[in-house]
Amino acid sequence: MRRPPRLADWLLTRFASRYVRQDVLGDLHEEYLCHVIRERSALGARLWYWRQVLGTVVGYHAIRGPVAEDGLVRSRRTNQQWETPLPLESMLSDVRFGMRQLSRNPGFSLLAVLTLALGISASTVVFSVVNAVVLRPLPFEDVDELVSIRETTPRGDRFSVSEPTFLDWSATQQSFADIAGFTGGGATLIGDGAPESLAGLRISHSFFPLLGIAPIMGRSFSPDEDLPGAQARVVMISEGLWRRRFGGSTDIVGTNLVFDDGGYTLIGVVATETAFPGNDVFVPLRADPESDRSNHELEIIGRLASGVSMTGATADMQRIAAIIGEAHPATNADWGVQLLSLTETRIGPTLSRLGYFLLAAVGLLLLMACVSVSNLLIARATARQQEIGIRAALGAGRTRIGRQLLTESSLLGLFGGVLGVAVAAWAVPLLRTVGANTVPRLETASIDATVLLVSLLVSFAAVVLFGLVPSLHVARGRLFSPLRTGAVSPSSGRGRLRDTLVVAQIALSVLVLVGTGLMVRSFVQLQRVELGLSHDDVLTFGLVIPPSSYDGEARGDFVHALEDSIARLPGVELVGTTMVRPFAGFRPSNFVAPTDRVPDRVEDFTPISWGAVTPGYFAALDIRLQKGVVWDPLAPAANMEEGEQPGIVIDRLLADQLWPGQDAIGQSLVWNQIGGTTARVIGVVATVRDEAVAVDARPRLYWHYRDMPWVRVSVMVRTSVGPETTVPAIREVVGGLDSNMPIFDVSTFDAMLADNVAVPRFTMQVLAGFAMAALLLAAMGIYGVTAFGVQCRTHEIGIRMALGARSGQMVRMLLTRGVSLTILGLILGTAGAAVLAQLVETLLYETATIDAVAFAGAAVMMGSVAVIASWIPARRAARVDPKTALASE
Amino acid sequence: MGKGAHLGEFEQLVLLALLRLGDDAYGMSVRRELQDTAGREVTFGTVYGTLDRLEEKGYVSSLSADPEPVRGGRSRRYFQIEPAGEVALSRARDMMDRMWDGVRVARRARGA
Repeated sequence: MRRPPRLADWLLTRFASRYVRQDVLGDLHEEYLCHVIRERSALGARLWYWRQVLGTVVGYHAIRGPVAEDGLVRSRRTNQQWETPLPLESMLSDVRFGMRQLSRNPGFSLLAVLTLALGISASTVVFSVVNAVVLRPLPFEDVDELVSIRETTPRGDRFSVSEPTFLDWSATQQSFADIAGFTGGGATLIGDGAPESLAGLRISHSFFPLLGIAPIMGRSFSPDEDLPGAQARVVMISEGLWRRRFGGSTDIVGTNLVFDDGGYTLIGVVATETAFPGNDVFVPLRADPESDRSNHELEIIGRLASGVSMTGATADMQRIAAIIGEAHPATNADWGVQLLSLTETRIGPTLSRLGYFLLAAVGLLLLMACVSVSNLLIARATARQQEIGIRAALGAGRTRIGRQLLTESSLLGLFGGVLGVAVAAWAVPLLRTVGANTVPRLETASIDATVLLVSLLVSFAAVVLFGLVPSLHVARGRLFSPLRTGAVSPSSGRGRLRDTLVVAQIALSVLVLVGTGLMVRSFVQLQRVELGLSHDDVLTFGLVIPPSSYDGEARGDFVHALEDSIARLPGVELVGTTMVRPFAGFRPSNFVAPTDRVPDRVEDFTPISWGAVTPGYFAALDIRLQKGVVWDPLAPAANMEEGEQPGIVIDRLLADQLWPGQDAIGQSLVWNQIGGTTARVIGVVATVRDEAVAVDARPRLYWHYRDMPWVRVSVMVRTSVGPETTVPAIREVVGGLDSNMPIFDVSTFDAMLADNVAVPRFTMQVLAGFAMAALLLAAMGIYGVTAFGVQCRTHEIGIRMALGARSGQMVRMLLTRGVSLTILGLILGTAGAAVLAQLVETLLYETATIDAVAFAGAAVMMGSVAVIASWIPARRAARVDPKTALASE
Repeated sequence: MGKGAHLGEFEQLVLLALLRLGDDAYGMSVRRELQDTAGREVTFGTVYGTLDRLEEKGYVSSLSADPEPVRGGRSRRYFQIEPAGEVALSRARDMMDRMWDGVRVARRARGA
C-alpha cells in the first residue's frame, strides 16, 4: 500500500489553504512512506495520514485566522494564483452562526442529534456486518472467475467429487485455467507444550496458486509432492498457528513438526485466516486414480480460463462427465456436473437474503429518524416564525434564510453522523465478540473505509431528507406571513406537512414491527420443533483417534474403554459416541435398497443420511428404541470380507419407507450400490432431527461404530450434575488412556443447539432493537403533533372550558386528530407490510407471511403507543385553568 | 513590547526547531523535530500555519528546492531563521529567565 489515500489528498487540495497545500502534500507523501516502511501496518500509516489531513484542513486556518487574499507578499507563489479561491472562510461564518443558533436551544439540538445518531449508528453497524458477511468479495484473487464444481447424482442432487473423477477432470477439462481439490483433514500437533488438535485441509498442489494465495514464508506444495504414493512428509501451516504456537519465528521453514503420526517438514506458512478460518494445517491431497469412484469426498474449485463463460464450462464438463459415465457405468452412469460461482456457494442464498432484509429494515429506521428530525425542524421553524419574519422584513432574502436553515441541518447531520459512527465503532467489536462463530465472516466486520464512506453518504442523504423539506418550506414563503402572533391553525400548510410526516412514521413503524413480529414467530416455531431427543445436561466433546497408533479394531476398543471409564466418573449417568455430532452442519449421505427389491439403476435407490454410533449413544441422548435391540458393546466388528452381515439400526422414517406396514426387524438392505455390502436390521429407533433445527429429518441408518470406526468422533456424556463440572475429570480420563490425545470442541448440547439457530436469533434480536427504536420515534412524532395542536388551540380551550365544557370532552376533542392520523398510518402500514412480507417468505420457518398474530400485534402495539403519546398532551391541556388559557395571549 | 513582537510558546518551539535542524529544516523535519524532541505531536497545518505567520513577521524566510519524486514531484520548502527571529527568540528567553529568577518549583509537581 505505497500510495497514500486518494480521498484524503483530494480533501486536502479542495479545502486546505492554497498557500500551503503543495508543501503539505509533499511533506505528507514523504513522511507517509517512512510510516509505511517503519510500521509494516498499512492501516496505521493511513490512519496517521487521515489525522494529518483533517488536522491540517482545520488547523491551518485556526492558527492563521482569515487571510486577506492579497495580504501576503510572496512572489514565489504567483504562478499558483490560478487556483480557485477558498470557499472555506466564507462558509465558516455560516457555520459559526449555525452553531450559535443550535446552542441557543440545546434540548432541541440534542434530541435531533440523538435521533440522527440512532439512525446512522444502526445503519452503520448493519452495513458493516452485511458488508463483511455478504457483500465483501471473498479474499481470493479475481474471485469472479472462481467456480465450485460438483458432481450431480442421477436424481440431480449436488454431490461431492471422488478422487479418480477429479483427476479425470484435471486431465481432460479445457475450460479452466486450473482446477484444485480439497477435503477436510486435521492432525494433532505434539511437541513443545500440550498436544493440540488442529483442523486442516488436504489440498491438491494447485490449490493455493489457483486462489492467488501466496505463502508469506516458504513455498506451496510441488506437483511431485502431490502424487499418490509420494514419500515426502511435508506440511504447510496457517499464519495464525505460526504466530500462536511458534511465536512468529522467521526461521521455522524447513524445521520438523511432530504430529500424532510422526514428523513432517514444514515447507510454508500461509495467511488463510480470512479465507479458511479455523484451518491450521495443510497437507498434499495425493488424489489416487485407483481409489473408489463411489467415495465422494472432495470439493473442487476451478478458475475459468479467460473468455470462457459459465455456460461454456458447464457444457465442457458435462461432456467429460458423459465420457466418464461410459467408462465407469457402475459408479458414474448418468452422473452429471454442476457449476456454481464460488461466492454463491460460500455465502449462500439465505444469508444474502437475511442481509438485504436487515439492510432494508435499518433503511426504514433511518428514514423514520429523518422524518422525526424533519418534524422537529418544522416545529422549530414555526417557533422561530417571528424571528424569521423580522429578518425577512429587514431584507434577508428567502434563499439566504433557507440556506441558513440548511446549514443548521448540515451541522445536525454532521454531529449526528460523527456520534453515530462513534457509537457504531464501539458496537461493531462488541457484536463481533457476541456473534463469534455464529455467522460466517462476522469476525471480519469492521468500520473500514467502505463502511465510513457509506456512513458519510447516508448522513449526507439524511441531511437532504430531513433538512430540505423545512428549508424549501421556508423558501417557498410559507413562513413569511406578516409579523403576526397568536393563534395558528394546525390545518395550515405546515400543519398538513407535519400530519403527513406523522402518518408516514406510523406506517414505517408498522412495517418494522410486522417484520420483527414475523421473525419472532418464526423463531418461536423453531424453538418448538420436536427434535426427538433429550439434550438437557449433556456434555459433548470431540476426539481424534489417530490411525497411526490405532487400527480400526483398536479404535473400537479405545472408544469402548473410554466410555467405560467416563461412565464410572461421579455425576456421569450415560455415555455414547458418534462419528458426526448432531448439528455439526454436515451429515454424510448414501443410498440403500432392500435386498429383495434391488432396483436396476442406482438412482432408484433410497437416499439416506447415516452415522456410526456406539450402543450407548441412543441412551445418552434418550433416543427411544422402538423395536428390536441395539448392538452388544463387546461384540467385535462384523467380518464383512468373509460375508458376515453387520447388524444395523434404522430410524422409524427409513423403516416406514422401505418396509411400510411390515416389521423391519430381520430385513436386510444393500448399501451404496448394486452388489454392495448387505446389512441386517436389528433395531428401529425414533426419528431425530439432528442436521439443523430448521431442516426436516431424512431417513437415517446407524452403523455400529466398530463396523465404521472413524478417526474423528464426538462423545456425548449425560450427567446428573452441571455438565461443565465433569470436564476436568474427563480430561484426566482421556489423558490417562493416551497422553497425546487432546479433547476439543467441549460444549454442552444446549449451547450447540443454540449455535444452530444463532443466525435467526441474531436477526430477531437486531430487529427487536429496531422495532423499539421505531416505536419510540413514532411516539415522539405523534406526541409532537398533538402537543403542537394543543398549543395552537390554547385560547379556544380556555373559552370552551370557561363556557362549561368538561375536561373529558376536551380530551376527546384534542385526541381526535392524533387518533385519526394513527388510524390512517396503521392502515397504510399494514397494507404495505402485507405486500412487503412476501419478500421475506423464504426466511420464515413454518410461519405464514400474513401471520395474524404478527400483524395484529404490530397494529395494537403501535396503536396503543400512539394513543398514549397523544393522550398525554391532551390531558395536560384539558386540565389547564381557563383563566391561564385565556391569558396566554 | 507590543503584542505583535511577542512570541508564543509554540512559535518559540518552531524557531528552536529551525535552529536545531540548520540546513535541513523543511515541513516534515520540523514536524518530526517537534514530535521527537519536544514531544509535541502536531499536524502539518499547525506547522505551516505557524511558519507562515513567522514569515509574515519577518522572523523566518523560506525557499523552494528542486522537485523530488518521493514527494510526488513536489519540491521541499526550506525555512531558515532571520536575524530578527533570533533577536525575538533570545528576548523571549530573557523574559522567561527574568521571571524564573529566584523562583523555586518542586520538580515533583512539574513531573506529575
